[in-house]
Amino acid sequence: MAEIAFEGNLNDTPASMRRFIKGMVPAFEAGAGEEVVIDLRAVRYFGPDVCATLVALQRRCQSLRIPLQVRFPSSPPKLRAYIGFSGLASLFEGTPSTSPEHPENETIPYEVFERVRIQQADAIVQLIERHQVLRSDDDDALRSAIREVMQNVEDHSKSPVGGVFAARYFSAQREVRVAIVDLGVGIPSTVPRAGGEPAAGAVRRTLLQGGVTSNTTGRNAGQGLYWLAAHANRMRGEVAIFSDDLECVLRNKQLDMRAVDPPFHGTAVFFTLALGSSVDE
Amino acid sequence: MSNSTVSTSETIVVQEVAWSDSIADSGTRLGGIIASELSTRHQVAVSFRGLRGVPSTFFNAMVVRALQDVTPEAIATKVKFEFENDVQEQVWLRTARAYQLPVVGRR
Repeated sequence: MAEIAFEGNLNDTPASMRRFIKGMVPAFEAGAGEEVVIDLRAVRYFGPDVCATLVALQRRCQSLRIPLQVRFPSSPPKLRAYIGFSGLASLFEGTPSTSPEHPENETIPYEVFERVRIQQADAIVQLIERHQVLRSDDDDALRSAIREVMQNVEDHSKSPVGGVFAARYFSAQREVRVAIVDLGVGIPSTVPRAGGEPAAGAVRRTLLQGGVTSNTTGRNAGQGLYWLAAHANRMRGEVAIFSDDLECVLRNKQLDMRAVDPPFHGTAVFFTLALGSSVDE
Repeated sequence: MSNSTVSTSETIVVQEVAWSDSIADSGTRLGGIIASELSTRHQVAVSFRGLRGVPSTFFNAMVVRALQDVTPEAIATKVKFEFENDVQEQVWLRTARAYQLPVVGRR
């Protein structure tokens, strides 16, 4: 049995997610017949990053008939509300879904996707617009960033569980946090390398310059991650990517990369965009 | 996208609301429409006004499909793109560059 417990705050930050992803690896490596228990009862905060990762794990366990138990905390109330609005309570506790139409709600339920549709980012935009006026360029960048990452999942990952999308808006900070997780082939395995270039170098070029692509579908031009990075840079955002044995964090136009051990068998892209903060290049 | 693409005189207006296919399929279909229009017209205008967050995949798929029937030069000289905003135009320009199109869209 793989029993994994977390405590404290699992913030939507690279440091917190590094801890969470690393702790979750044994659950993602569990084989058929092995029971998996994720104990979050001592956790006081988590958001879309944890949500998307848990749903991806649930889909893997379901497909492999691995018994999975996720134990959620009974408090604090804000976290309980998030568990309800995100759809996690319905998925893991069997409780009725909480309507996301509640006026104070800042969460959209998680979505599982196989193919990317143009409407896919509408829900988070509509939710934000219930709280604040969304500028045209922010609207454009948010939708584009979400769709670019989703399209990468569809085109390159070969994820057996599809992709999982979760997002949450924070009205006080005017910030939107997005998580997209798949359990397919990681970026370092698919990105083409020049000569004997290490994977990290190729991923760096992908994010900062674009034009690096395995052209899996015949219509790829290596622009997806470039645009994610560009939008994040313009909107004072932050991007954290965990893929295979590579971690990339983009913040203040600075890209930091490091090897991670054990590797995450898939790709988790977590990003934050500050609405109304866009800066011209 | 068959219901969302309306040819009025020489302008193809791409409307988001009626899209039902995947983004890639929608782009492919638009590329086919552009190629088809170019076979009967000297000039074609494509308006992306009203669309938000068009990802690079859409433009990529559009170009790949159009290039099956028309030359890069035809896209450069005979197609006029109208964009919703600068971000959208920048996404298009990077796609155009990636496919080495001698084309610059203008809003």
